[in-house]
Amino acid sequence: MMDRQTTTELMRLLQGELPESVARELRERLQRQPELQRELESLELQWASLELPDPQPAPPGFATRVVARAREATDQGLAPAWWSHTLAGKVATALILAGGIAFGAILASPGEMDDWSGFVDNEPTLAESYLLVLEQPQDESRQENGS
Amino acid sequence: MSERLPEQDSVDDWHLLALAGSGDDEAFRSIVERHQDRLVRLCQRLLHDREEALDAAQEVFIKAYRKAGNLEPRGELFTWLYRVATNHCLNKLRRRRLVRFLPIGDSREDERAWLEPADQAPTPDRQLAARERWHATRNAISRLPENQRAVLVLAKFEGLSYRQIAETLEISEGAVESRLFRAMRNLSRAQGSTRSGVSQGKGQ
Repeated sequence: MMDRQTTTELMRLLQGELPESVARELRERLQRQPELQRELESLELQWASLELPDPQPAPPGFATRVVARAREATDQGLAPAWWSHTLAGKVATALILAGGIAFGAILASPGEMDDWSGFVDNEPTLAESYLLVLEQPQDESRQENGS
Repeated sequence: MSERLPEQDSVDDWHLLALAGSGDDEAFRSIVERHQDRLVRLCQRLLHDREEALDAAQEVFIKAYRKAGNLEPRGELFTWLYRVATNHCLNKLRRRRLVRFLPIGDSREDERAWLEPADQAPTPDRQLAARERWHATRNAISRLPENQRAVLVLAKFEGLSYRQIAETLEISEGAVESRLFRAMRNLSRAQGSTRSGVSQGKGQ
């Protein structure tokens, strides 16, 4: 087996990656050195032995599906870059934010808050319920003793 | 030797992507149609699974769509697509290996779908010989370290030049050369016995 530099040069020659002047020089060396020629043939054979069938192309309708999926991803909130870069995108973002703030403000309006807090305040907490249960028999026994 | 990939009309590609970036779906469709076969082919060669390859290619295009407004025109668009696709496929392979705890590419079942074109061979003997060679190649490639596998597939089967591979994988041309050299060394060790069979097959 050749040294690394020679082998990589031969690989480059096989793949048309050498500048013409270097390639010419290497071809001259190949004619003079049978060992180098054998190494080139071996590499060529090894390269050619790597065979795979041509994969099938994309199926019909593939592009349509991809465009639809990309559009879907946008609709689901995975917005493409243009969303934040165009005026339409900026206006839409501002409207969505404003809508969200307005909705939040309605939910947090004082009247509803009173109703909600009133409902919560009337309910005993879990700890309070527990204490009430504990206290109940004592009260009952006091009443019994008092009567 | 595989045919070199022609330089793309990159100006056009970037222009289309800019249009897609401003919400033009038809421009995006043009990009997909222009590159779909090449990307599906690359993903299939890396993953050895048709359905996974189609999914992977689709995900790469969706990534491009989402980044369309942010990408700086640099080099050729297809090398960016190839880079995303290669990384995506290598990640998939890593996950697959973690899930299955099996060497990749040993399934003869998967191979049947992959090998459909074998029927083009003129005789059953030749079909069989072709399948054996493809199977050997797939196994040898799937045993290479990922970085060597990516370089080999891009060079041998996608016909990319060293410069294009370097651009795609964001490495130097020297690294491309070195990985290819190591890949060939590893293949040479692994395929020692197969090579004689291949030369016999060629002689038929």
